[in-house]
Amino acid sequence: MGRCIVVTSGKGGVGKSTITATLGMAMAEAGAKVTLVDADVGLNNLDLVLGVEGAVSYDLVDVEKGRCRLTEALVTHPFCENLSLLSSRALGGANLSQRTFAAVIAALRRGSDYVLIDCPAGIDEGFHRAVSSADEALIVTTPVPASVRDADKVSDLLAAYRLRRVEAVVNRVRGDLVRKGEALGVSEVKSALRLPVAGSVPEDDEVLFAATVGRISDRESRHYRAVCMLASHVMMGTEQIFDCTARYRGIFGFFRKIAR
Amino acid sequence: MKGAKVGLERIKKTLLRDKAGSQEEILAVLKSDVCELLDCYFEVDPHSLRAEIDVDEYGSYKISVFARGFRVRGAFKSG
Repeated sequence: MGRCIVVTSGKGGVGKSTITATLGMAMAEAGAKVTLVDADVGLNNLDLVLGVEGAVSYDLVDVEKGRCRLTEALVTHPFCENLSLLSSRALGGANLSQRTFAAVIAALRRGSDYVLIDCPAGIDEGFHRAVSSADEALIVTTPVPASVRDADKVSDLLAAYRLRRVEAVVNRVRGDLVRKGEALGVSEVKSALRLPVAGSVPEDDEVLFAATVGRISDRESRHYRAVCMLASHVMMGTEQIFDCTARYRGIFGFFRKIAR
Repeated sequence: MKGAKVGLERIKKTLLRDKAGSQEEILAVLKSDVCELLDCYFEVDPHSLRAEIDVDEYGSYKISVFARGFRVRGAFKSG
């Protein structure tokens, strides 16, 4: 029975889907069998982030309505056979029940090492549907007050579900500004949220480029390397997290800070 | 003051305010549940029950409950 981790945030636009997709890829490339589930019915995007939007024939709602079998709705990533996606849809899935969703997740867990659920933004029905089937949660936040506040609310809500593990992922960290003392870093977010931090991921232009062309970020990029460290933490419990400020230390770092 | 310090202060104050403002509903449920629990062990004066939740400067909740009980329930008698 695989582990089920919900990737949530409360606030929209913090990079949940990108983190879910990249984390899934990193874990799959490390040898785990990973299934991603887009639980954002109505505002689904995980297929686009992975670049498999053209391969989706059936989705979560089709499975619920009995129009296809679960295995038929799964899309295997063209470059990584360990990674598959159960997509959601833009219209017509508003009545998806919590019970059906839980049954789908239970079936996926039997065939995967990890099931990662991309939770919708907000804290309404879709959030509760996604969270109720998980046993661990990653709360993605950016180092800005509005995002941290929403992450704190989500963390309070998750307490009611008694999940086995709830951790934060600090996304879009600007190492240069953190070094200058002009933006919040991981330690500040951690002290405000009082949650363990599973990983920190730097702001990286590569993510924007990768999202535009429809692929996971380059394997050598800082973004992907940071998410690989997050994947190691999730899979093996390693404590090391990516140091987003390292690039801006020393004499070369000084020039990089100026250049930004 | 540097932006990071200002930001951290703002976040901490906001989270404290949020936590302090979300207690009324919890208090009502807490009182009811605590009364039920204590009633298993004591004969409790329901009118004496007081519950308070304070948030300290670190964002931790300090929960205090006061109740007056008349006697211990018989289940604890030896023999």
